[in-house]
Amino acid sequence: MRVDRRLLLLIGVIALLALFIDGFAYVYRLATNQPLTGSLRGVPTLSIPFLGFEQQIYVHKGLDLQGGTHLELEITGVRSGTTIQDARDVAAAILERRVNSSGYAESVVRPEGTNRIIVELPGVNLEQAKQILGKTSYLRIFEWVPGTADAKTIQDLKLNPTDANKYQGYKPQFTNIDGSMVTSASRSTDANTNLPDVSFSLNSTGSDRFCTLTRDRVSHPSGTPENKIAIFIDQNLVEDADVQSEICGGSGIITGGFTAASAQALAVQLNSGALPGTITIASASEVGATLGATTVQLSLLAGAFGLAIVILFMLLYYRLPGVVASLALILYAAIALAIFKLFGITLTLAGLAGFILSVGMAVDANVLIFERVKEELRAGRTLGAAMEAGVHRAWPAIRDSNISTLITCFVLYFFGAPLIKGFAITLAIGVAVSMFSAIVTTQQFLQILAGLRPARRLAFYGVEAPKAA
Amino acid sequence: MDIVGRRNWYFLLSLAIILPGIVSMLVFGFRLGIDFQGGDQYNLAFKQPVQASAVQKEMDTFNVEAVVQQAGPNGVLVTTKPLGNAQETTIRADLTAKFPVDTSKSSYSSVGPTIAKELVVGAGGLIAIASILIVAYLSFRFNYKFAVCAVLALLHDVFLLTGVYSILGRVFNSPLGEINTLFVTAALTVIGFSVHDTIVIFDRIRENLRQASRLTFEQNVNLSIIQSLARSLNTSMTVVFVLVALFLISPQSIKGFTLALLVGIVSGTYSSIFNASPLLVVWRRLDPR
Repeated sequence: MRVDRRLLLLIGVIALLALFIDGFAYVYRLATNQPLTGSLRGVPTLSIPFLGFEQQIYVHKGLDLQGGTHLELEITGVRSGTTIQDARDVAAAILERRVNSSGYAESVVRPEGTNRIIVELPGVNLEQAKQILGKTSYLRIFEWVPGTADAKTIQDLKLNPTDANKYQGYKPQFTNIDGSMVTSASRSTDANTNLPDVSFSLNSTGSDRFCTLTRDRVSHPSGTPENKIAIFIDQNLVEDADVQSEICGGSGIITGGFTAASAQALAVQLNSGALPGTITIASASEVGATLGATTVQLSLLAGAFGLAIVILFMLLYYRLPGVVASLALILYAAIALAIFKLFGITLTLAGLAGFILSVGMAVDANVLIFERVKEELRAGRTLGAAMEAGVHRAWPAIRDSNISTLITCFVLYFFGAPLIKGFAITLAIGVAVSMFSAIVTTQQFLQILAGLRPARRLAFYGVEAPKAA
Repeated sequence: MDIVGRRNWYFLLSLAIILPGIVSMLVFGFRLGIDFQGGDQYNLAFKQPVQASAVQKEMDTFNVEAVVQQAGPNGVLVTTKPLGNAQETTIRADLTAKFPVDTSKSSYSSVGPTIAKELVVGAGGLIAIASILIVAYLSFRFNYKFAVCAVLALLHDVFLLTGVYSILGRVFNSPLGEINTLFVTAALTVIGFSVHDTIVIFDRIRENLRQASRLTFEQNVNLSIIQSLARSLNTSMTVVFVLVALFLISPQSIKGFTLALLVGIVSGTYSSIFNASPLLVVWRRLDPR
């Protein structure tokens, strides 16, 4: 095998691309005075539309590395008429809205298994997490109809008795418009009074009902209870407003004497909707922020130390090829890191373990090749021939060992718990890249060496010249 | 050097370490982390030194089965049976009020019994499935004897590691010997490494067998081991150096993890040199086809 210009070009392009991905985000962040890690607001994401790929490029750190709370929730007591999977998905969507409207960056809410939901909240402790997830406000819209509310009705409707008996001779009647129909809610400001209020929009069912309701209410004289709609949050009446005209756009406004903060809070809670079952915490873990940072520092230190030892060893033991291997290794690390960033692979402690193992395997591929090259040189082959034979003869071992590792990764990824998945994915990426690194990069670099006249002294390869040439 | 000829001594050495481990597993079982049996665990870091006994005394007032262990001068590890949501909140508030807890350096985790059960079944199942697939692949590349020997070496490492951890956790009662999800990750890493290491030597045997030579199978295997020795030791030594350094500087929460990797990698190197290949020779003698 000769030096292949196209392969060299490929290595060059990949190296540049990897270094660009590794570096440019830092340059951008430094230039714009932004924090060096984490997701940035308002920064364009790299997106490849036809792959459904959208990603900001940075190292996604797992909760064990950046601190935060991880919860595994279990949904039980699902309302009849829905399957547990549907309930799980609905609950996950609702929880996601609660989390997002509280403004926590990089949080994760996703369904898992048949009845579980995984929630990850970086930088949040368990108590805060419970508050974010647990706070709901159930919105219901009532109309006033003639009659008297008896105690049992009030109790069945779960209403505050004082509010339910607000008007003599009228009782509240549920209009079948509730929080599950709210698609979004936000804090707004009343244009006339300049006071904070909460505007919300309804889905099509809710919108239709709201339209019919308001049309009916308008037909009653202004000022009478029958002209009003009553908005209850949980059991309390928060708004009892006259309807001036029918409202069919699917949106409404609640003005109830809010402060800016309480309006914001209500908007968040309305966004939450009602959960389709009971949520319990099946497992929880909380990692302090500094603890995570310590682990990261430690991993970096171990990584740097490990790299230094490996490079030192390679240089001392394999001499000139050691230089090649070290270059290949650094390139390897750059490519792997670029892939982690590009695809938003979340790095956890277990993930780092997988990566470090793959570094070991990458070094090993080089060691295998060099040992073979040494043998061939001792047997008296020329440098070029020895290198070619070395790569050629080391290949089956590299192939078989790495494929076995990939098989293990495959099993772990598809059947393992989330933590184990993280390990499997970094190991698999590492092993795949290391095969490229050993077979293409190291091999091409060695061929270049073989072509250089000053590099031909056998002593550079840690081999005594054979007795008979 | 005649490694294959002295194989029985090497098998004996393996057994000498593995058997006490198995006995310990059977008699004492494991020191299970909360991920495997359910429960709550506080890893508390303090701003000033605090004695574990003081925290234990405080925990006893709640009438929960709590085990408090010192983890460095400024930290304790509190493990309890599963606490309810409300009780957890009360205890946390109490501990934070009574001791100088540095929350940003502390961690807490809680695992319900259902999840714990799934993990135990899952971890064993994963190792089994992976082993079967590796046997299938190696049978295709080598033959089934090689495949079975590679997996035997793998099981050697798994048993050695779990045995050592059973002894460490239950006999020496050390928190390092806790079996938790991180331990499972370490075990998986060791499996990957062990198979990798074994295959490199098997590849050499395969190659040497293809070349016509006057060597017997036994001599051939021995030669292959010697030829791969430099590579095996070089690779392992670099990994071991890194792990020793990592172990020394690890915070308490991941020391057990790095130790497991260290034990496993050493065992993996040993088993591929001294067990897997000599086993091939034993099998060949029993079944010379």
